[in-house]
Formats: sequence, C-alpha cells, structure tokens
Amino acid sequence: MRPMYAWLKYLALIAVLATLPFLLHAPFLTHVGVMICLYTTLALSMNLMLRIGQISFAHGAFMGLGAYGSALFMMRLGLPFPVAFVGATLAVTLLAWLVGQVFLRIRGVYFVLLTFAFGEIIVLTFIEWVSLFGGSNGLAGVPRPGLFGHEIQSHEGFYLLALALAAFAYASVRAIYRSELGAVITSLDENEALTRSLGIDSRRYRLLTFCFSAFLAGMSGALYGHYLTLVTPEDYGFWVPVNLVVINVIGGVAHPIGSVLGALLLVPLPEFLRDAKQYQVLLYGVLLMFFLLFMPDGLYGLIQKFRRRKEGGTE
Amino acid sequence: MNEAILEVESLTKAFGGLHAISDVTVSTVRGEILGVIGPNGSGKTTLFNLVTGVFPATSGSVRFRGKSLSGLPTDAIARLGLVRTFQSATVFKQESVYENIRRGSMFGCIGNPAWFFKKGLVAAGAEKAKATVEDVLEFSGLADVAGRSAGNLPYGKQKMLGVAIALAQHPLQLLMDEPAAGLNPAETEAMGELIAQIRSARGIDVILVEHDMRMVISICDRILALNYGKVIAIDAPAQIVAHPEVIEAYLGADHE
Repeated sequence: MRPMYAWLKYLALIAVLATLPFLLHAPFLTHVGVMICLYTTLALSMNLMLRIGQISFAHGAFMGLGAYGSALFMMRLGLPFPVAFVGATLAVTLLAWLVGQVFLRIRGVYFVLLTFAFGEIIVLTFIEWVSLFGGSNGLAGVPRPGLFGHEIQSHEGFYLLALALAAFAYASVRAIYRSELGAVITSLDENEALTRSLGIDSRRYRLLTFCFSAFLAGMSGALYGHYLTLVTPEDYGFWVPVNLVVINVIGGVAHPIGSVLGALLLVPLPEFLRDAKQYQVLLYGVLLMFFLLFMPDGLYGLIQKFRRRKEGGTE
Repeated sequence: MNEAILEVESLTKAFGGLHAISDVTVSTVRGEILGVIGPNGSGKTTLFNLVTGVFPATSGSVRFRGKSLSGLPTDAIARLGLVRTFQSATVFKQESVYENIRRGSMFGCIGNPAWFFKKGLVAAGAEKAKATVEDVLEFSGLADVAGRSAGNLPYGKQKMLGVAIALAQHPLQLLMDEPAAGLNPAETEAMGELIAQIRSARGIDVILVEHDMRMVISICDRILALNYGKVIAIDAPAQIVAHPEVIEAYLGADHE
C-alpha cells in the first residue's frame, strides 16, 4: 500500500499548489510561480545531462526552438495550440536526436564547447533569418494557447499549465532515476568503460537521455513563448544553460528534488530584484561561490545532513 | 572437447608506425586457461583491447565460437559472453558491493535501450539478477561486505569485486587483465584460487594476462609469450620457462 500512499501525497501536494493562486489573488506571485514551474522543468532537463556527466550548452537553443516552433506553427500554419505545442517539442527532440549522433561521441570540455557553438548558431539563426524568426525584435503577438475551446489568458491558467508540465517533468525524471534506466545513466558517468564492458550500448543510452532532456527543454520553451506572447532571441542564449547549471548546483544534483529546490530559491530572485538588476549577477555569483565552497551537495545535501543527524539523534 | 572458442588470426594493430601487436595468431579450446605473458609494452593489454572491440584492428581477425567479432562494439562482444576484467580495480565506487554485482548481472539484459521498453524483459532480468548476486557473492567470498560501498573496500577486495561483476554476467570466457597486480601475496593466492575455481566449478574459460609468474605457471594450461607485439612462443608452462627467447625477453635475470 506504500506506493499508493506516496501517490496520494504527491497528488495532494499538486492540488494544494494548484489552488494556491486562486486563494491568494496575487498576480505577481502567480507570475513568479509560472516562472518557477518553467525553470523547474528546464533544470530537471539539465539534471539529466549532469547525470551522464555532460553539461549541455545547447539547452538554451532547445528551449528557444520550442518557443519559436510552437509560436510559428500557430502564427504561420494556423495550427491549434496542442498540435503546435506537441509538434514543436517533437521537432526539437528530433533535432536533438540528429545532432546528438555527433555531439555525444565527444566528452568533457569539448562537448561543452561544441554544444555552446551549436547554441550560438541557433541564436544567430533567430537573429539573421529575419523573414522567419523576426530578427532581433523576435516574434511579437504570439497567440495565447487555447485548450478545450477556452483561450488561456490569465496568469492562473498559465500557472496550471506550467505546474502540470513541471509535475510531469519531475515525475518522469524521478521515475527514470528509480528505474533500471537510472542505474544505467548513473553508471555511464561513474565508469563508462566498465558500463560498456557489462554490455551497455553507451552511445544509445546517452542519446536517449539527451533526447528526453531536449524534449523537456522544448516543452518548457514552447510554453514560455505563449506565456510572454513575445519570443526574442536573447532569451535563449548561453545564459539559459548557465542558470540551469547554477540552479542544479545550488539545489543539489544528487536528486531531482534538488532541481526543484534550486528553482524555488533562484528563480524568484530576478523577479523580486527587477529594480536592482545590477545586483542580480552579483548575488548569483556570491550564492554560487558560497554553495560551491560550503555546500557542494546543495540544498538537497543540506536536507540529507539534517535527516541523518535527526536519525542519529533518535538512535 | 577440442572445440575452438576464441580464434585470433594474424591480428595486427599499428599506432602510427609502431606495431603494438603484429601478426598474432592464437586460439583457445573449451575448458582452457591460457596465460599471456610479456614485458611491459609487449602488447598484452592491446591484445585484450582488440579482442573486446575497444579499438579496431589494423588487420587480422578475431572469432568467438565461430562468430567474427570484427566491427562489433565492446558492449555487443560482452553480451556474446566474452567478458573482460580490468588491470586497475574497476568498480562503481559510489555503489554498494551488492549493487555492483547486480548491475553486472542486469545490464546485459538491457544493453540496448529499445530492449528496456520490451515488456517483461526488465522484470525477468531483475528476477535472474537476484539469484545471480547471491550466488556470486558467495562464490567470490564477498558476502560479508555486500552492503559496503565499493570505494571503501581494500584494494584487494575491489579487484575481487571486479571479477565478481564479470562473473555476474554469466560469461563463457573471461579475459582477465593482470588480476594480481597491486595485490599482496595472500590476496594473490586467493585470486589464483578463485581463477582456478572459475574454470573448475563454473566451467568458464579464462585468458589471463599476468606478471606474477608463479600464478601463471601454476594455473595456466598453456602460455602465450609476447615480445614487441610478436608471439615468441605458445606452449605448456614447463616449456615456456625453458624457452631461451622467453627467458631472454621476459624472465631475464630472475630465472638464469
């Protein structure tokens, strides 16, 4: 009966989170909530890459392609939102599969540089291909999503969509880590030569991880575009993956909950510090240094430490 | 009885101008322990890397139970039952001993991610793994440290674990790269006994690269001696230690 109980616990938590904005009536907080959910999804997608030991700087591009893709499918082809959303995400996943064939043969710093170059090329394409992507001004007037005949306009509506996405991302990443797939993925980072000698086709598993990671990033990006109703190239540059790595490091990479905690802590900062933009980067830097020096296992590590102390105390 | 298991024919590997392995031909029969000896840099590990598909050969061929291994990647070769162990202790350091062996048993069943999604395959593998882990823990003498983290084991136990992980894959033939390297005399003896057991109790063929001559002579049926990547002799241990070229190349002053 335990798994059943665990499910109920999660459902109850999601239900509470879902009703929160309707009780609070605070649009700004709801907006922060949307951003946290979108970034949780992105951070989880980066967590997958960190698990196989390959930091991907292509994730800004995957997010951007999701945003532009879904927006253009609706604006140019007049597709309904669900079709545009799924189509754009699948296109991003397909692209990840294609470039992954080459990228994932490369390891370490070279992989970071290669994905960085890929990300920059995609952003440059957004800027230079003015007729399609609208250049530096991007795409304005991205349509609001419609679901079941209703157009979603309110912050609350978006919040529910984003929350569902984040919940899906969390549940799927956690399911992956708890399954045999998670053992394979962790093994690849821990000792690739040994993992291969145990009969694991490491390239295929890395590719699968990369594709699913891009899939999550693409979904988050697509929703982000419809939320802002504006898609501009600078939103999808190399700062995205940098932020995602920072979120994961501060939250703790050992468990998917770390991505959630990191997003909860870091995403509100720029929203609340809008008037003091110059301090944002400084604060990020100080936080990152603090965590790397004193809490390399992040917030999740901190929680684990407290748990262990509590258990030790009762013994 | 004399069915050939591993057939290596005119195998050559050139790194630039250097022939790490040149024109090596050797085959093993069912039930055999073959030793491979040679000075450092004579191509022993390169031979293993070629056989297990870590890198491709420049020329020549390898067949395992009649099947050509050329072009096959490491993981596919491992799934055929030709499994290697590593020179340095190679284990998943962060995981428990139990988990290490479990992965050894499990991973072959899900080598390709597509199989992972086939219904029943993972469950069947997990079921098999349970029995395998208990059995291998017992056999390799690691049962009392099953719960410990692999990285915290003494080096000798870590090397034992490396062998245990390989055994969990139910190999048909083990390629062991210097199992005694870094071990103290007592551990070396235990490792030698384990290898003998692997053959006699498990019926697994073994190819053994080793510097510890006492171990090689005592447990191998035949010995392949390499020097500068070339075969200088393949013979029974008694003949090998008396072979003038082997003495000159490898045994040297110790056995004069």
